[in-house]
Amino acid sequence: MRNQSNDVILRMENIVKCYGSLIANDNVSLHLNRGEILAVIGENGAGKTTLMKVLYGLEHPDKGDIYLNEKKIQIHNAAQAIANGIGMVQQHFMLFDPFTVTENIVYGKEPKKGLFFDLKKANQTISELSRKFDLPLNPTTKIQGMPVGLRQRVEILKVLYQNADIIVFDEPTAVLTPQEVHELLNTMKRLAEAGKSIIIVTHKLNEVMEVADRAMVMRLGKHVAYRNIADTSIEELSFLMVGRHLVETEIPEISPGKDILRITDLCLTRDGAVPILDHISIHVNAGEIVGIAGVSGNGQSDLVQCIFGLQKADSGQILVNGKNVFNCPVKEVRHSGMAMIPEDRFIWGSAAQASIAETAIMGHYEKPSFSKKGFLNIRTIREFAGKLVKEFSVKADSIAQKTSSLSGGNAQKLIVAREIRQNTPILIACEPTRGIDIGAIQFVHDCLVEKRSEGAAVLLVSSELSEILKLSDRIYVIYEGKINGEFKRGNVSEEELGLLMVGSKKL
Amino acid sequence: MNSGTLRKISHFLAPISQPFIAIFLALVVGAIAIIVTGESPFNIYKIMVKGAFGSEYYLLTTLTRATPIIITGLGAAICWSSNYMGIGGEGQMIMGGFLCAVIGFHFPGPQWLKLTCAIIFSLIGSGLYSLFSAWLLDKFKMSLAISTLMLNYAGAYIAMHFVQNVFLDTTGDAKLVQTQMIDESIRLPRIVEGQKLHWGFGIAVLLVILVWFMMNRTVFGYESRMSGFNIHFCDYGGINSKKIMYGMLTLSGVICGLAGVIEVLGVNYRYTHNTYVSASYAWIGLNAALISGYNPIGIFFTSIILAGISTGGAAIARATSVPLEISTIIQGCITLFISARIAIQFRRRSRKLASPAKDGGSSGDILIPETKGEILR
Repeated sequence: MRNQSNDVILRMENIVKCYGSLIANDNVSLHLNRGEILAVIGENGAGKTTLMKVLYGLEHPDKGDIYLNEKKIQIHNAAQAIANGIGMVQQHFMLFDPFTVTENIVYGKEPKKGLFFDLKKANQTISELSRKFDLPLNPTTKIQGMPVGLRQRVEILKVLYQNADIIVFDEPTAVLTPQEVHELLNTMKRLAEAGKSIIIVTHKLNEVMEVADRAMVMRLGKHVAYRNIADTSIEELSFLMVGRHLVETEIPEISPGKDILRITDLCLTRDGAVPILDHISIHVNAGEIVGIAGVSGNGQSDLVQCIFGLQKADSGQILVNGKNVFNCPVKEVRHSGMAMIPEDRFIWGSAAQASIAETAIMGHYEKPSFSKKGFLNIRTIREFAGKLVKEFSVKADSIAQKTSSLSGGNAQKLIVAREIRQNTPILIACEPTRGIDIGAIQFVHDCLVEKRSEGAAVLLVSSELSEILKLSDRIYVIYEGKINGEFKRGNVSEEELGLLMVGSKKL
Repeated sequence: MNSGTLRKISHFLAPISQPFIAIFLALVVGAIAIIVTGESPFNIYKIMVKGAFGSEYYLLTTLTRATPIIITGLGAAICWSSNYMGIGGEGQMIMGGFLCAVIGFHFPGPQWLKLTCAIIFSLIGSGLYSLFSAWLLDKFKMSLAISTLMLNYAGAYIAMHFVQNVFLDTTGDAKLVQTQMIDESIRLPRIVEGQKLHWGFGIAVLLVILVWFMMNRTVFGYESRMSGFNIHFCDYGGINSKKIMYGMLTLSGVICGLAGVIEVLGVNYRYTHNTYVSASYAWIGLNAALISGYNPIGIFFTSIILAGISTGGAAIARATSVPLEISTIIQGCITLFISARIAIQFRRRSRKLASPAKDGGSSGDILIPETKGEILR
């Protein structure tokens, strides 16, 4: 147990924050003890991020007070938050790629010699700091080419350099491999032992159980409970978060059929030299979910784009039921029997300004029931969109409202609904549950499993390992554009996958 | 709960209110300019409204003037709404008018053949003229704004060169650079005898309906509107976005060319150098398209208002000491305030892109300016 005293370093009292008619924070109170790790947990949209933005001065609360060491303070911007000893490790790193570790850390608070920037002293300070908190880093390395885990370490050091006593981690493990997650959690523990007070915002409950002392559960903008981690369980926390018990997706046994999708020796290079995809050969059988595990940025996006015709590959073969669709235009690929849930729902999957109905008929509208001789049949289109919304429980007032008015989870449901209703023998799902709440994740998983039960081939690309492990009948690991391992369900552990994902050779 | 209803109402009114606010602010600026000249703005605006809509004669003159504005507005709207921001309406209109006047007079054979060929070839010509910009964009990544703008000048001077050196009307004693008049039998008839308004206005009305239908009820319209909203979404959906670009820009050229054709057949009966440029029909048309968020029905009414400001401005200049330029000021200010609206949306958009909405928030407005198509809404 850490030497946590019960002396309260931070209190947020009755914070209220509204965005228009949406109440993001409804009378939320929080207290943080010195030297403890507090987990703020809740589904997407529960108001966690808003609360942290208020603390960091990025949002101004409509009501409520913040007390630091029992003294009331006002935080109008991030600079004031930093001055008050509050630091935040952002979800999206804010680092300058071409600059070194030191330059990034001291930016804004540089040691000076006269009028000039004292680089030597800066480097020295940073290496001392990194030694003191046991966060090994070479101060003179450039950020460019650094793995995500190290970048995050730079962000943490930056916060420490700013002398923060309270460190907020916003969804810190979303982009990390299992090994990196492990290291990060250890780092947090060490920081807490060194007397820092830590808030971790997350929805990953196993991490909470491992690292936190206390958890504050938020739901629909309210705080619903405090629990000491020692006195609670994952089941209780998840029940508090979601407000109901979740039923695990059941994956029935089926024996896979013949290979519907077969890709051989797919190659792609950028600028004529850098290999992005290196002789990728994979296949997906009927009635099978095949997962592609990998740290994002190892060629997954390019692989899917090449398969789907959104990008031209250099060489290879893509057989759909024996027909080669290599480098065919998207329309032809879709007609050959492929549908896709794209990795970014607002960049690829929908148009924010289009109505729900318009988003719902993409890829469908040329079917004879929706258009004849180039003229749209508005009545059947409306019926179809209405049915999708109802069947897949997309929360919307009407199909005429803009797609941008849907929450992330509901927009994703709409896209999943649309692609499943293409009734194609192949479905590619890219990061199908990124950034959506637990209920919606469950729903999407059920849809994929149902698709598999119908005898379709499902290719699941995800950087969420737990998702891959839960759903996939077979798993490929991708690393730097190469397939770095293939496993059947149950033949591999999360740790083994994690190692392969960062490039270690076959175990 | 009451605030909820209020918000709904304001949400509904917001896109409609913006053009009215722009016009209102422009009128306020115009009023200041009028006060500077020492007149009463209320008085002047009264004369202006009277001069634009006050009698049958004025009203019909305004509608005549509105006709090419409506048509070029529609031409601009279809390419802008698919996110291809071409500003070549003027050059395309010149091409249409010039070819129509020349072919309509010089083509061999009976008058009906002259007329048919004049219409067909001038529309093909103006369409190709716009297609050229599309090709430059596709093959050489040349900015559409620059190529279309430059082709406006090229079009005007190509037409001038041929009129001056080949097709110059030497029968009259006017010193204008213009072609000879087409035969009376192939001119567009007047709607009201003795007034300027011709059946070109009827064609414009028909075109409003056709364009609305095309944008909201056809596959091509759906595809192009989606491409305007989000081109990645289109690529992913299997839409050939190049086809949309070529198709929309060509069609836009054809429509703008039609504006020129109708001016020749219905108003001037000949092509005169500089008439379309000095009246800046195509630019006012583009304005109308922007103000009304590319909505064809909106374009129809906005064009009439903008034409009214021009004819009303002429009435002021005749009746008072306030100069004709007052209407130019007002129109300029409308453009200014409308483009300010675009700028605001640009800012909002970039801010949203900079800080992606978390916690299941919605993404930003992907496209500017706001379109208010009717499909499925």
